Amino acid sequence: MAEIRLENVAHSYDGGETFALKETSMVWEDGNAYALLGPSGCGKTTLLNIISGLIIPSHGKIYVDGVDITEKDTEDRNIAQVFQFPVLYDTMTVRKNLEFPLKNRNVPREKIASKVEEIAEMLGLTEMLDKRPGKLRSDLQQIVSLGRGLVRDNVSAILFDEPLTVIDQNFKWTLRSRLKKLHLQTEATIVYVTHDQTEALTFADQVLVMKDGEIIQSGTSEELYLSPKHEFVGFFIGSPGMNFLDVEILSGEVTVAGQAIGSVAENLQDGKFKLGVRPEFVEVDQAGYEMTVTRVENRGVYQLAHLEMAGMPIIAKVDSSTVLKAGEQASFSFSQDRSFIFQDQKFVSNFVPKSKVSK
Amino acid sequence: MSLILKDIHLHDGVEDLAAGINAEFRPGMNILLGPTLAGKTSLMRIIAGLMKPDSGEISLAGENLLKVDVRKRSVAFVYQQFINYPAFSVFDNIASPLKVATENYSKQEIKDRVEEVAELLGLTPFLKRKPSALSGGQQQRVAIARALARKSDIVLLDEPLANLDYKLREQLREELQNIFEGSDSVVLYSTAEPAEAMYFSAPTFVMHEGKIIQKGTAAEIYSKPENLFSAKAISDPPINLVDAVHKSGEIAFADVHIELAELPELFDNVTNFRLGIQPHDLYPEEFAGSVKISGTVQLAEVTGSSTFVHLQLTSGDEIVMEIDGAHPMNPGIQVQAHFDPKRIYAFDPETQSTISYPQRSVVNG
Amino acid sequence: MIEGKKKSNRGWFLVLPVVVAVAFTAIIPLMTVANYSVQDIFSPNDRIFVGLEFFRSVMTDERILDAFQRNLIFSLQVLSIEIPLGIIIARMMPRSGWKASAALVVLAVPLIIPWNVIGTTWKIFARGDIGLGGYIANLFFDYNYTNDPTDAWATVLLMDVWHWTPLVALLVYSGLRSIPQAYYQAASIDGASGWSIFRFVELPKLKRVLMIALLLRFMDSFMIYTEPFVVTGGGPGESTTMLSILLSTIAIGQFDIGTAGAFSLIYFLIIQILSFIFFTVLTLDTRQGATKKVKRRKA
Repeated sequence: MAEIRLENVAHSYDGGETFALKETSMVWEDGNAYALLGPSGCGKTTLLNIISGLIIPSHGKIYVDGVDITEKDTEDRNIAQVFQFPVLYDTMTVRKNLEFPLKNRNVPREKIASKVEEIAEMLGLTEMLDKRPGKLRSDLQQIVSLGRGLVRDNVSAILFDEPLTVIDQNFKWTLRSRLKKLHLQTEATIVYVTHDQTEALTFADQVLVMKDGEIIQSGTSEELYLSPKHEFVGFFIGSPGMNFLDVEILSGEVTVAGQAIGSVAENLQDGKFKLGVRPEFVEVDQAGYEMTVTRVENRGVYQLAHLEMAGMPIIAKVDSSTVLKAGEQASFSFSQDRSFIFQDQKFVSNFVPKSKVSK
Repeated sequence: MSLILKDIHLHDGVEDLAAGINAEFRPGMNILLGPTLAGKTSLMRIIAGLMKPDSGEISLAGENLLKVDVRKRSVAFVYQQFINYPAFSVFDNIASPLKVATENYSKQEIKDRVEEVAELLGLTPFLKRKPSALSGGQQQRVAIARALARKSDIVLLDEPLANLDYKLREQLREELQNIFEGSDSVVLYSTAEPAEAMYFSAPTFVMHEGKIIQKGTAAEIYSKPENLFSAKAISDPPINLVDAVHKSGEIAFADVHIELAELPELFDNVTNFRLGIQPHDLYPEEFAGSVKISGTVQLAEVTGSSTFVHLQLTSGDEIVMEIDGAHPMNPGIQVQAHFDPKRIYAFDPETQSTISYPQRSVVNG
Repeated sequence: MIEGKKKSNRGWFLVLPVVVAVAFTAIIPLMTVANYSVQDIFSPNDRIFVGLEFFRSVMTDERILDAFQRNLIFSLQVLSIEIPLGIIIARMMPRSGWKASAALVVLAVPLIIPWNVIGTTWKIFARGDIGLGGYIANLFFDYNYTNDPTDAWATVLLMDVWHWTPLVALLVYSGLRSIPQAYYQAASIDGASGWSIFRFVELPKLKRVLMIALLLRFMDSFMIYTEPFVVTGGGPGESTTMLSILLSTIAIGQFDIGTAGAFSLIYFLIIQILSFIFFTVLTLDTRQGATKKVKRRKA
């Protein structure tokens, strides 16, 4: 396994008019799992294809352990890839599928046999080795495709391109945690592309959130969830996403439709801003702000209260034992360290709620 | 104007696509919940008239629907794949069901209706474009708009959001909720995702192997599943299941022993059973009345707001504990999970039917 | 149940036009042929029933047996040239852009020219005195299809290859286009050689298409008529006399309708049997899989 370094990498499909991937530099450390998370068209697949060698970037260089591989073909790059659907050689048995990458590289016979046994053991495929992959369940087929990547000793990275797309809902959970366990066992450098936040957050050590060809924030799932540095991260991660309120700041005081609700931690110029707070940090609080309950959604374990404050919608995630009724008024507050002020979509300051609001 | 199905059977030569379906779907949203191949799509195809049942009756507002020719049934169908006419503009796509309708709409009527529906789904700026020039979410919006254009008595939505990015799914789900709330049409919405069923507070029908096995609100099904299949269909993350034994006054599984006195009387006649417990009913800390299980951490998945801890029990079973907040843990460490014995589900291993479900029911809002 | 009965009646009505069409194009002519094959007809009013006599004579007729052997060799040669060549051409064709369209048009040319035009064209093209092809061939060796049996055979074979390889190529091309890119990416990641990609990715995915190509080309070449008829007339000698040419000679040239009828029926049967064998062998694998699947599902 290896360290992958991108230096000023950018790519345009139309000769420089628009960039599917804007200039990016980063280092992917050996043995870590990275997720590229974003909606379709955000550039995550372009970035993946640049690493696998299917696309040569219009700008910049890619280094693997310090060696420039920008111009190298896919087959010379020592990467492995798992695709959206299981890609297998139908006429070969599972064993032959696993042997294939080694045979092509003229690995000695005994070495192939032992390596295939070892990987099959690790993936739990030992009993299926002599079956045709077409007879297996789709999640097992995906495991076999992963196995073809793992049998090679010198793979510098394994790329996952939305690997759970065609997997049955029932097996998604198992396969996802299985992939994660395999990552812990193999310590491979992994790049995982997905639009599904749960997949990205649970799988990766570092999640790179992408939008419009740019990486707008990268961090652990905890950092992205608790301290979004960009409105899009707040919106895209979390279900439902972050609430945003139009607020005005006048000499450090934050007001919503004329009502003062708190202050800011940093010195900010007066003007219009957004206040962002996640549904779980909108808390039931007798000393909070008055809001109108418009709808209550029972999600089994918890409830989602749809609220309105000065005509703006807010969603609060509350305990299933809390009694709330549509049409009534209720009091909520925004949690101290978990409410943020954004300007031009970027984080500018923490929000400090008023300790008590006089009625 | 309910849609009533009576004992619908359909066998395709290999398996039962419908194995005796009885249901009454009322106007407004109805959810069909179940995993892939549970028979959701087949049921919709039968209602639409694309497949003819071997036996059974379908009636809409008292009229026998099976006697009505497919083309004359007032049915709209939206598929998982975004199906539009590629050569038509968005306007013509939405107008297409009106143009072929037997009612003979005037040009002006068609224009008004298309614009109204386009407005509802936020498609007004794209009316002149071809579907291929739209994003996936917009393409599916066009398909939904087409289904809405002609006010059909029955609207069938077959996993309409499954192929969309999950954020788009959230948005469109909300729009669908608003559009169909209080609708006169009978709307059937099929999904494999419990979260979607939970989202629409609508009558939910759980499907399994060509049958409707339970109906109720999603919350009811969640707290009182009638059998193991219902419990699985409504649980996300999946419900933890282990084999347990009831012997000489106590329940045992892995390293857990629970005194029978704490349990409901339905357990009395049971020796072996499947014990179920929801991941979020397992806690890392002890609390009053809790019972503990020890396990080895296999994996801890942190989503930011919560952590899924995969534990291997002394019996070898693997269970998942969902805890609030981010709690990274190294695989291999020993931890204990605590749960309220009143929160367990018990299923008959033979019939899969429920012996007992959690005693505290979920409070309705 | 009443619903069901209604459905089946309506179903028969829908099939009726096809039944009528098949009756006129296949069943009635076949019956006529069967009728001829068991009678010796001297004039419309003077015919005697001869039983299987004509069949016996056909089965022992040296000319017919020779033609059968000749035709079989011809078909095998056609298949062994056209299938690999079609695959090679399809693999070399560009997959997208104007080049792809241009390649398709060029390939389609032989397929849209009327058969007799092709025959006439080749007849002239291959002539040593005024034809370009014949002229070029004569630069390298002594070539004359009108009196050298080998040259005549090669000419007919070449015509068939020129005429029908594009069909194989088009079929294979459409098969190749339907293989998702991911398979090629995966193969290059696995370090597969060009040959391995063909052997393990393309060939398995082309199986069905190739089966169709094989069947079509076999049946067609086994019934070849126009090409040898126009160019060589079955000669020189009987060197390019295929079954259908011999059949028409017997039926029309010699007006030996009884023999021709028996011959036709046997010919028909041979094609049926050979096609059936081809089909069975080629689909053996897939059908086995299918039956297993049914069983497993039921269990």
